[in-house]
Amino acid sequence: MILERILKEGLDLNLPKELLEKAHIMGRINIVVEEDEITIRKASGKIGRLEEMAGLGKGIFKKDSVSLQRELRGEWKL
Amino acid sequence: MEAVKRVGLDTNIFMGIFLEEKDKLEPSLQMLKLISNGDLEGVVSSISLIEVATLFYQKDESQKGRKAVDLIRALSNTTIVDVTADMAINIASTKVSERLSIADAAVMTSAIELRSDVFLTYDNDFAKVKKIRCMKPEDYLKILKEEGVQE
Repeated sequence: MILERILKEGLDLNLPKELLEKAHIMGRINIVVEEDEITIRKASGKIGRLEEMAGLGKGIFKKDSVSLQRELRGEWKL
Repeated sequence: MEAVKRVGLDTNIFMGIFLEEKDKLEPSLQMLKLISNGDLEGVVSSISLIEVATLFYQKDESQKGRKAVDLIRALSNTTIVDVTADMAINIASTKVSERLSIADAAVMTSAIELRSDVFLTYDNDFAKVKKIRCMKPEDYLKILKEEGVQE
């Protein structure tokens, strides 16, 4: 297979623009190289919701994050 | 062409952000930004979602608990790993060999199963783990800086 040869020989992989357009792949993407396949994923630049995370639990808990986690996981200890 | 590195995220990384914990907030948020930007990929065990929700529910904060879980699930470039029967043996083996609790082993095994580069946690119980590199976000950020992944 052509792809196998490209990977084996370490050549550049060029994907035609028409093919990318057909797959609706535009803008930022992630290319994930696995052992036997390459996955192209659309990358999202959205980070706005991350700021929503900060402080969501403020004033609710008296212990720190590691203590809270340990307390919960203590229930699993044999 | 270099593959995007995967990072496993422990529950305390998210709780540290939710609690706005001094010293933990900035490096943890920076990691999530690198993941959201596609510079890294995140790996989160579904057990972490249960733990986050439970902590909020225990405090009668179900709405915030649901929001916390939704925010984690909405993270870009992040895979939520369900615990499956296929993982049972690996979790058990990790639990015994690394001397962890079952939950610690299950959460960390999700990262290992997806061939993560590192498992990020603030819990020192993972300090002696051999199956995967375990470290704090700030320590991994230093490594990424040396590798040129982040400026």
